This record gives sequence, C-alpha cells and structure tokens, in this order.
Amino acid sequence: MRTSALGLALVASVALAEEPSTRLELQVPFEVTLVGLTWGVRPELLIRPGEAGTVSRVRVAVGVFAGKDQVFLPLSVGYRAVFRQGRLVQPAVGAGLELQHRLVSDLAAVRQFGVYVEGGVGFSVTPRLSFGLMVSLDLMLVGGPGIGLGPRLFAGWRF
Amino acid sequence: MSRRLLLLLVLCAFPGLAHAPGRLFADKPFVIARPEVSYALFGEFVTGSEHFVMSLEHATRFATPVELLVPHQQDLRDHRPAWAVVAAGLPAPSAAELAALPAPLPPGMGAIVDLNDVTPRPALFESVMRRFFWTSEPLAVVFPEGKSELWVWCPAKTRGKFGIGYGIEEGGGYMEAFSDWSFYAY
Repeated sequence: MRTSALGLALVASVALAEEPSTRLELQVPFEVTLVGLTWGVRPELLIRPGEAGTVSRVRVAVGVFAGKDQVFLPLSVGYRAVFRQGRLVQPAVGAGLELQHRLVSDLAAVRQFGVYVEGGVGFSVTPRLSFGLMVSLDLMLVGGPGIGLGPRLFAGWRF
Repeated sequence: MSRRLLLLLVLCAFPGLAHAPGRLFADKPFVIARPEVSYALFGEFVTGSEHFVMSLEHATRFATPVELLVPHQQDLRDHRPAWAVVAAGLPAPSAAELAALPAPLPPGMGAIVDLNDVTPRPALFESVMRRFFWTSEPLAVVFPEGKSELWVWCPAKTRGKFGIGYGIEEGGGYMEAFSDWSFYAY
C-alpha cells in the first residue's frame, strides 16, 4: 500500500519535458447529466489571460446533449484555475455562470439561468495533449429552481 | 458518492419542503397519510391492465388539484392513463366515464373522472428533476369529508411509467426520491 502511494506521488510529480506556452486550450468532454438524464459533448475553450505559468483561465463552453425526453443546450462562461502546470497531474477548479436551454417538440424552449462550480483533474500526457475528468454542479436560480450534476471525461489540446 | 453529494446540495439549496414522493404498486393501495399536503406518486403499467388505488381521508371538505403525468418520451406518446376520485357524495359519472372505469363503482359512491384525452396533449417542464412530462392538466377536485379513493388505470391498456400529482402545499421530503433515484429521475 505504501509502495503504491509512493508510486502515485512520483507519477503526480513528473514534470513534462516542456512547459506549455500556449494561450488557448480546446477541451472536448463527453458528459452525462444525472439530473434530467442527457448525454453529449460540451466543447470548451480555455483562454489564459496572463503570463505563462498563471493558474487562471477564462472558460467558455457550449454543450449539445440529447436525452429520452429533451435536447439540452447549456452555455457557460466562467473562471478555471489549473494547478501544477508543466506536471503530469493537473488539478483544476472553477466557477461561473450558465444559461441552459431545453427543447422538446411540443413546448416552447425552457430557459434557466444560474451558477456552476466544477472540479477535477487533468493528465497532461504531452505539453499539448491532455485527458481528464471533471465534475460540475449547477444551481439554477432563474426559470425554475434546480440542481444539476454532470461528470465528464475530456480530451484537450493546447494551441 | 455522487448521490450523496447531490442530496447534500439539494438539502442546502432547498431546505424547505417538497411534494412527498411515493411509489405506487397495483397490488397494494397507497395510503395518502397526510392529505393536507402534496404528493408526487409514481408507478408503472407493466401489463397495461393494472388498477392503482390511493386511499385518503379528509376531516372536512377539501379542494385540491389532481394531475396525471407521463414522461415526455416518444415511446409513451400514446400512453394516456386516466384517473378518478371515488367517494360518497361525489356526483354520478357520465355513461362514458362509467364505462371507462376499471371497476364498478361501489354502491352509494360517485366519482370525478378525468380520461386524460385532451388534444393536443399539454406538456410541462419540472425544474427540480429537470424532466418533461405530458400532463392531463391539473383539475381541482373538492374531496368530501370522509374516505375517498384515487384510482389510476389505463383505458387503452398501454404500458409505461406515470406520475400523479396531488395537492399544492409542500410538506414532504426528498429522502424517498433518493432511495429510488433511478425510478423517480429517469
């Protein structure tokens, strides 16, 4: 047990050969929403506003989801902090605003507005390519109360 | 883990009350123990021939809405369960309603019947569970003093899930829904 913990710590501290200097990262997550079951992709653009090495990112995301009873289109804008850059394991947390659209065939589109928080970890397998897992929670405040939970697996590319 | 986290968030965000959830079974009447509060009861027609019964008792006359919901899913487009309130003191149903009932009315009983046949079929969005439903639309019923029964059946013998909403005043909790999340949420 101690050996595996030590191994994990070593893997987590592995430095990549090259510190990424790019300002943009496109992540394409596959996500399942657990409240109001839908599944789909939520492409997100992460923009680094400051110097290389800063943890801060501006996140813009647009999702396209389908479920048995609805099409779900969320739009998100927020902040994400990405830690341990240049390392293999990169934890991330974030928060922001979300506008959710839900469509069915015989009812006007339902729109809700609220906030979200997110957290997870990325694995930067090369300076440009990463994979990871995030979980987001949202709380809708306008257009009907509700809480959502969505785990997602992503692949990301820095450019 | 995710279920516990979701429960914690729901309780933190909505510390108030909710429609009391419950699961209906055709072989066992559901007792609406607190008819002064609202219930969201869900069941499933497995054969299409089931007859779901909910029993309740009011100390005085009590007016409250009843509404039947069906998940807004393509395979349930023709699934339109009907409902009726059966009690002494209610008016006699029409001949068509009487013929549609799943069982003969007990002697001395009347009924308020909704055959859930409005066209086009109304739909609604339920924001807490984030689901769309087709609805029979709420109908205010004046329940008489004493015992009543709420019946749900399927005149066309279709199969599928349904929910029945009773009442307005939220007085239940969330725990029952989390104990059977996949049934209530999906």
